[in-house]
Amino acid sequence: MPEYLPATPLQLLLVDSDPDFVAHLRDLGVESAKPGLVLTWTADTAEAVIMSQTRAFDVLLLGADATSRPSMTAFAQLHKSAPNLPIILLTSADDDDTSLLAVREGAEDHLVKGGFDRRELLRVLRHAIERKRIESRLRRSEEFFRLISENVTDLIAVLDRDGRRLYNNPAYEQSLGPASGLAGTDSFHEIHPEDRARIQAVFRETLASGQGQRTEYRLLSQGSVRYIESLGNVVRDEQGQPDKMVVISRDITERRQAMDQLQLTLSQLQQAHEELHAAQDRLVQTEKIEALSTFAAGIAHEVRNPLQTILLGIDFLRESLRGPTGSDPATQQLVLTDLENAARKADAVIQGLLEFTAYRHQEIQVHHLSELLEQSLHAVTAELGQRGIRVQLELDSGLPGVRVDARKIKHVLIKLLLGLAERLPTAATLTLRTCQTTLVRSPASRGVPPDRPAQAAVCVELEHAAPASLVPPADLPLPTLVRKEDLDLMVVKKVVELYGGMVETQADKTGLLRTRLLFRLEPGV
Amino acid sequence: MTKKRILAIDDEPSITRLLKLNLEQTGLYEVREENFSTQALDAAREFKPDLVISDVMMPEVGGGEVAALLREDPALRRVPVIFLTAAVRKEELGGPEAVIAGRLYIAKPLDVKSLLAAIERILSK
Repeated sequence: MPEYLPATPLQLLLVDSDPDFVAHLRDLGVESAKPGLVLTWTADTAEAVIMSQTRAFDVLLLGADATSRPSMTAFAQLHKSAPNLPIILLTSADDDDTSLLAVREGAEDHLVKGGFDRRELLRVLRHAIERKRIESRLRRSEEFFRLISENVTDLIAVLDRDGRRLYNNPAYEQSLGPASGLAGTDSFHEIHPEDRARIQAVFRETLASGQGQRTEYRLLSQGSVRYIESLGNVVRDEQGQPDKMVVISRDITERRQAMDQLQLTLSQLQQAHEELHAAQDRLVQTEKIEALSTFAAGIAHEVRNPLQTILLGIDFLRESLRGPTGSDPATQQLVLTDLENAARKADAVIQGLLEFTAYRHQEIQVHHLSELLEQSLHAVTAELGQRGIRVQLELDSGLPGVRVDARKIKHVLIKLLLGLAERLPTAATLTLRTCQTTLVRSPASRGVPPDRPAQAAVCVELEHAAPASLVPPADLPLPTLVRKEDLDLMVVKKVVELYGGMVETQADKTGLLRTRLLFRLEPGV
Repeated sequence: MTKKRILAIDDEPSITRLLKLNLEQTGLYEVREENFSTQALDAAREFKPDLVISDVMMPEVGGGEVAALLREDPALRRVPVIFLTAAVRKEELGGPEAVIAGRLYIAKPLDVKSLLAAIERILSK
């Protein structure tokens, strides 16, 4: 068997007071002059301490000191001064106790003086050096993990099979007090009573299956409740049986509180949204009632005016009949005509109201006025054709939609068109137009803030030659003339106003009369 | 005896016509009709009425705005105004007529007798 020799000479420090043993070593080829093993010898422990700290040795051989036995005191001094230097004790054949004690305290091995040859010496030296190297590596590794364990904010615990604490890293101090006082205590003790049984079950299951589970629970910590998230990993013994559990935990109280707060905020938002929705429903209902109320008030207004005419007319005629002179027949005839017209107006308003209310349900959706006008025109083609009325269509197909009840607006348009079919002279020209425009209040109007923007609107325009009586004199500004002759228009106005629109009738200097139905454009429609 | 001058403003011509016929039939009043509220102020400046009877709901310029325009004119500011309104019920006024913000409101429809009583009461103040 080839002799073990390192590539570089091994530096041996021998502490021994026996010159014969030194001579024996030299007989085995351990001496400074030979390559492979270089021996440095001293009989003085204090000198050896200094040498071990100032020079690089591979192995220290500790023999008998002045008392002729290896001293544990000397061993302790040397081991402390050079912890990484492997120490081999040289003992006599009857000194097993000292050898055993020294090995327990950190010596790598022992040799019985006179009981080894060169081969045995080399084997022990080689093993000692290798063991020390492994020990050093292990110690560095342990130190590395200790540093990690003691400096992370995560909670690291090692538990035995019953859940008792074997180790807790310093991060536990914040929640459970000094980690050093936790060893041997029951790790389930501080878990919230409502969570304890569940966590014990998870612990047992993890031990049995070997599969860690991530779980959350509450920990009672110095009078407060903390939320903890843990993951356990099983450590097995040499036989492969679950032996310990390493538990990595994290305090998630702040995260949990933030989530609870978020949940609460979400719930409040949800409630606010529902309340807003309910309020909106109530508002819509109120607006519906208000719109109906406005509609009813408008109708009442339209009915009371002819009633007023009738009452004033009756009073006048009664007084005329009673008086000595009376009024002239022409005036009486004029009053009678007013009375008749007033009665017709009232009847027309009531008739229109009945027709309008025939549809009980409103179906308000976005519709395009050009389409509604075309459909309405289609319904009265026969009536217009019989009178030879020529229709010119000028429809803007790109108009934005408006929110209306299509049936009611078509009803209004058909009513207007039928009225025109009756009143326009034969072979008259009727222009039907749709366009986008702007609602501008008259400068004479008050109560409108000056900064109120003009509103965008879409309109249907019915244009035809006006009767001569409605054409204003050329030198007057164009007034808005409400065509009282057109009885239908009164109800039409009210229906259109119900959808936030308006109706206006204008005569211009060229003799054309335009009836316009205007609907405000809502943003986003 | 000088006839009192009354300006009747209503967009309904038959009403102003019958107001004129009824009031002038008493021999006590001279009535001018105005059916366009936008021209009511000019009519009042020209006619110099002792009293104005005005509808409330009219196209373009309402009765309230007409009264405000009259009040801004130094020559017309003291002219009393009676409002005839079809927009309220008698129950809402608490009777056939009511004074609201210093103005007399009479609900339509009203008879000539009631109107004459109101006119005499106001002009005698």
